[in-house]
Amino acid sequence: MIDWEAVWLSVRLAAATTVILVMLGMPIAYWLARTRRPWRPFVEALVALPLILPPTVLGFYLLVAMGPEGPLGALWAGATGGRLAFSFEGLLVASVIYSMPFAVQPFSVAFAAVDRSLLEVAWTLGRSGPATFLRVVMPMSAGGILTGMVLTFAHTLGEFGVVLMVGGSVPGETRTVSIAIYDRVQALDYAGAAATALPLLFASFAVLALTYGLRGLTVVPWPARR
Amino acid sequence: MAGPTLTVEVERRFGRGPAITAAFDVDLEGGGTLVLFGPSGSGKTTILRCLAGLEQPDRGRIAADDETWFDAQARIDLPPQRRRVGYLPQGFALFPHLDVRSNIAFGMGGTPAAEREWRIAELVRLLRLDGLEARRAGQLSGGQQQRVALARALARGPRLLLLDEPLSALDTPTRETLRGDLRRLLAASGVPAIVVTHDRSEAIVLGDRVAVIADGAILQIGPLLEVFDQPVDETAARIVGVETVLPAQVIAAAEGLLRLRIGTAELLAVGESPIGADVLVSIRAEDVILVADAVGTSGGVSARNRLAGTVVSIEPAGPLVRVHLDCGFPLVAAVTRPALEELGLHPDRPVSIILKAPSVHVIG
Repeated sequence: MIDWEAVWLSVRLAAATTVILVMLGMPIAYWLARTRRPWRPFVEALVALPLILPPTVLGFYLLVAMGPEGPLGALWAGATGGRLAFSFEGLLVASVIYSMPFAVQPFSVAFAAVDRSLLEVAWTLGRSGPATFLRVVMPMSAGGILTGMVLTFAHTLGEFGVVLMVGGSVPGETRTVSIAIYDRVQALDYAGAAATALPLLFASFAVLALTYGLRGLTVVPWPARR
Repeated sequence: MAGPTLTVEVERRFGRGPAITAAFDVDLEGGGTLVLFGPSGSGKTTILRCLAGLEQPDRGRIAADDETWFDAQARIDLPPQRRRVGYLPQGFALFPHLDVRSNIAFGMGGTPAAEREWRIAELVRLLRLDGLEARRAGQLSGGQQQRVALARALARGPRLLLLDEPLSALDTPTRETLRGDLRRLLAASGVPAIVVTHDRSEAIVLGDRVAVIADGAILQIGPLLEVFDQPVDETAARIVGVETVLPAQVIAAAEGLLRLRIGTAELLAVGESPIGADVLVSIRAEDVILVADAVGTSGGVSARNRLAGTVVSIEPAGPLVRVHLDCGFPLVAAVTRPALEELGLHPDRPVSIILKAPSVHVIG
């Protein structure tokens, strides 16, 4: 018996996170790939922090920030009147932060691989910075962008610790697939857990295999640059 | 200069290294190529990048006719998009994700479709790219890549072409054939060009004017023959090399051999050029053999060129000495000191000069 409500929630969360991280992650990644500013390592470290921080630690701080007294929570309440913690929106904010390195890192590696002289030629041919990004950088980085999107989607789908901390287990609102499986295991419903876990396993594997097969890409988590 | 002129006077510093300074004019009318010639690291590329707007000088001014491109004092810095220059970086930087046609059309965004088609067709014909339009950069030879890069740069109708080491990315035999090709294409484009090179033969083939650059400064700038035959000082002479460069005319051509008239003398050379063509020849001083006694005009020596001449002057050049000769045209020979003594060379002494036909390098 698959918990379809949880599956649908996870897919929505992963899709929304991916869309936001494409828009938000690309400028950050491009800045990281091109800048020579001295504070670049700090931005890089900040983006990569979710990779090594225990999800509970990240989740704890996010929960505090999203609570009614926290800056994010207060801001959200002021704008919408609603509650950010234990809501889908709060979960989305947490996912964006938690999955950021999985988008920014492949984007940035791909952007950095585009030879600077190609950009310079585009400028002398009259193309503006944004036009050059659209016509040269983006198409040449298609593989890295696709990889970042797939990794973001898959990683959000499998997210657990942060969701548990900031989302709890509100059915249809914050109870994702991984939470639903956890709840069933807690209730000693192993058959129910397996019914939901197995499709997740196969779906994740299939998406990754398809992506790697299509692009012939290899992704190493946060490699040393250049 | 009367017509529209590019005036350059810039200074650029990197850290604690020597400042790179350049001051020169380029005629923006009627084509012609200025070669920035000097060893690697002398600052040639930096000057070119300052002109393209890809690097900012620390001081100075660049103006094309009445349009100011850069002025440090007035804080004017026209972006590369608005300078209308055709820039060919080292290695050409063709867009690898686009085919030849899209590469050429890349800078023609604002051009109406009909005019764009017509212009691309014209460039494809001029640069002999017929049949290659659908290929990607990776499927082109080095020479084809160069022609695509040139077509792409010309597509926007630039007022100036900037080429950074245009032949260095090619392998040696290709490079030699493409030198003359590039010269003809640049001439056919009618657009003035500034070419950066560290290669002496490239400078000789491509340049109408040459600027000799060392340690960030222009040592000498002038017409090609003047720079190569009358270096202003020892550094310039060391850079341009011990070569005699002379204008010549082809008076006969057969079986890969050319008979050339140079001054009042005639020389046999290896090469392919039509009869009547005006060419340049370069002769390395090391290849010139001096003989004390008169050599008969026939037999005894395999070398095809035997000339009678007189010593004009002798100057030391490291372990060798440079002997300036007059043999119907001015010629420099480099010989060792023992040879100098053995031959008893001194000014006004008549000598015989022997030159193998392959040592007479024909350019153009």
